[in-house]
Amino acid sequence: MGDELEKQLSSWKGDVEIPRRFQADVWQRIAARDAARRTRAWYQLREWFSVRLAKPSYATALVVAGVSISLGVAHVQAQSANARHWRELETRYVSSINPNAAVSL
Amino acid sequence: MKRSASVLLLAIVASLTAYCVYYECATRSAQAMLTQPDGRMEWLRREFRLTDSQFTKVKHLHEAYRPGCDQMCLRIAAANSEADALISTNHGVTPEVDAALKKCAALQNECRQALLAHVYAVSAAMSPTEGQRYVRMMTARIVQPGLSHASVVSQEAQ
Repeated sequence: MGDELEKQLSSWKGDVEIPRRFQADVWQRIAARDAARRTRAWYQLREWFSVRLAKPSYATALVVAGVSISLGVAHVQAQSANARHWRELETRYVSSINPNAAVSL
Repeated sequence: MKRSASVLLLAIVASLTAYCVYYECATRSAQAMLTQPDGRMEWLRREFRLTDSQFTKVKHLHEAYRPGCDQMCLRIAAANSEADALISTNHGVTPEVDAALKKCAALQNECRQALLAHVYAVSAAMSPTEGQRYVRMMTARIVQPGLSHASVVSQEAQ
C-alpha cells in the first residue's frame, strides 16, 4: 500500500505553472505585514518597554519623570489640604471668642 | 523584559514614596495644629505674625475673656430656651413673649459689645497693620455679618 502510494506520488507531475515572481511576491507580502505590525501602537509600546526601558538613560528618565510628577501632584494636594485646615482653625478661633457661635453649635 | 519590569516597578515605588513623603512633610504642621487643643491660638499667632511678647499678651487677653464669654454663652442659651418655650405655648405676641424676645436681643447686644471690646483689645496688642487686618476679619465674621467675608479671608487660605 505504502509502495503503491510512493510510486503514484513520484510519477505525478503538476501542470500548474508557477509565476516567475512567485517567491519575491511572497517575501514582499511577508515584509509588508511585518511593517504594518511594527507601526501598531501596542507593538511599539512593547518594543519600547522590552528594549529601550532596559537602557540606563531611559530608566533614569522614567524614574525622574515619575518622581517629578508625583511631587507636583503632592504639592498641589498639600496646598489644598493646608488651606482647608487653615480655614478650620480660623473657624475654631472665631467660635472660641463668639458666644453666639457656641450657642448655635 | 525582566529588567524593564524592574525599572518600571522602581519608578512606581519611587514616585509613590516621593508623593507620600512630600505630602506628609508639607501638611504635618497644619495637621498638628488641628489636633492640638490650643491649635486655634497657634493659628492666631501665625496668621497675624505675632512676636512672642505680642502672643503672650494676646493669650492673656484671651484667657481673661473666656470665662465671661462662657457665662454669656450660658445666659444666651437660657434666654433662647425661655423664648422658645414661650413662643411654643403662646398663640400671639403676649407681654411675656415680648419680654423674652427683648431679653434675648439685650443679651445679643451685650454679647456683641463684649466681643467688639475684646477684638479691639487683641488688635491693640498686635502691630498696627496686622491689628487692622484682625479687626476687619473678626468684625466681618462676627460683629458685622453683612460684610463680605471674602474681602478679609485669611492669607493662608487664599
